[in-house]
Amino acid sequence: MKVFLTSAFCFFMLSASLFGQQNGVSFKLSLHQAEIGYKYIFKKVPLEGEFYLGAGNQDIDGRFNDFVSGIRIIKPVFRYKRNLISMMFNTGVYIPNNDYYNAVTPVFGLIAGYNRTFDKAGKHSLLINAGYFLGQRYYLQEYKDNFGSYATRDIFKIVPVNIAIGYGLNF
Amino acid sequence: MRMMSITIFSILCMLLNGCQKEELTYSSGDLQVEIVTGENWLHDFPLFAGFTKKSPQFAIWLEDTAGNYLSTVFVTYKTATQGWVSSKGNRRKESLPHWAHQRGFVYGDGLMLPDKKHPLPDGITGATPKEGKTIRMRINDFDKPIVVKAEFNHSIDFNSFFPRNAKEGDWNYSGGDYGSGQPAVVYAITLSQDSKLSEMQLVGRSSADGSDGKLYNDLEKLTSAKCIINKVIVSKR
Repeated sequence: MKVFLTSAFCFFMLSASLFGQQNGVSFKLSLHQAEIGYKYIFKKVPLEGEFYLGAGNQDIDGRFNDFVSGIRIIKPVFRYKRNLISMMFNTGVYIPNNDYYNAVTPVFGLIAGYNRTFDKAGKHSLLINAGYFLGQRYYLQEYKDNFGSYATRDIFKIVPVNIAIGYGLNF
Repeated sequence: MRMMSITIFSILCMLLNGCQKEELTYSSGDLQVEIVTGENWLHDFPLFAGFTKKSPQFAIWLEDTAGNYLSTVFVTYKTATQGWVSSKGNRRKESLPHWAHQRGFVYGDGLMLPDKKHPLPDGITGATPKEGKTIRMRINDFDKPIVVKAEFNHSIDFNSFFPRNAKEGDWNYSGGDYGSGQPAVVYAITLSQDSKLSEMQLVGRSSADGSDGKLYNDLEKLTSAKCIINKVIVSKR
């Protein structure tokens, strides 16, 4: 939780200087990740960009204290009344937080996103993302005592399929 | 614009750092312990509305030829930290009792397994692998032979000899509904400086309910537990 709150603070401090025009913020939650995002609509190309920060629980201890961050390039593909379907390309980093290994892991993914606004002004929206992710990192663990030293190699892998639900505030 | 560039640059640095491969390297004289998984390495475990495949808990440690514990090499995370998810507070003393008793450390509640407040300080605590495992060992003093032991156990691995409905006090009680079922299996090998390539031998099974650290040789009562691993090979590089 501390990681998440610290990330949220850094995110809002950073985002004001990152983008001149604010377009929307979101909060999304899945079994393995909680994140806040900042979405910007590009003026000259029909694309949107999102920067996200959050916490995950995919490492050895299963606690929601791993660090996640990244950017998404979003292409709206279908719009009907209050419904919007987008495709997103995700690139980011997952940093496990535990006492046993270090494994900064690059993450790439393809996400299908559904956005439904539920007010006339389009200010509030329900978000559903379903994505496929690739991310893995080999790491070494070592231990020494009076009798010898021991080492082993293991792999940290991101859960490939993730479904998140969330809330978006557009402005 | 500058802040955006710094952010993108930072993410790219982290991504590049993440792409570096960590390799396990060996020097002359190092020992390689390789666990080759058996057909029962992954075991069905009920979770929410279905089942998931679980790998066994295991420990690898060193003893001298008189049977005295020397050092723990590797223990899986849940045993090393009392990290059980569905045990309802059960400490699962039946999971790896031979290792626990050989180590001989008694915790606050009288059990010999590490707990949440006192996770295992010795050896490597690692994730339970879905596939095999390779460990490098560098022994400081190899003048005398050493014994390498490994103990493996699945939970809820019941059979007709170690059934779910065995009652506490029965010879085959293994911890109840979420207990072991079949007890842990123990493999061992004695290594000396001249040893080259050796395969660990199944030397017995542990106590069914974890109440002692003895080795039992009634291996005919084990079925799927004997198929958790195919073999454990120890070789000198």
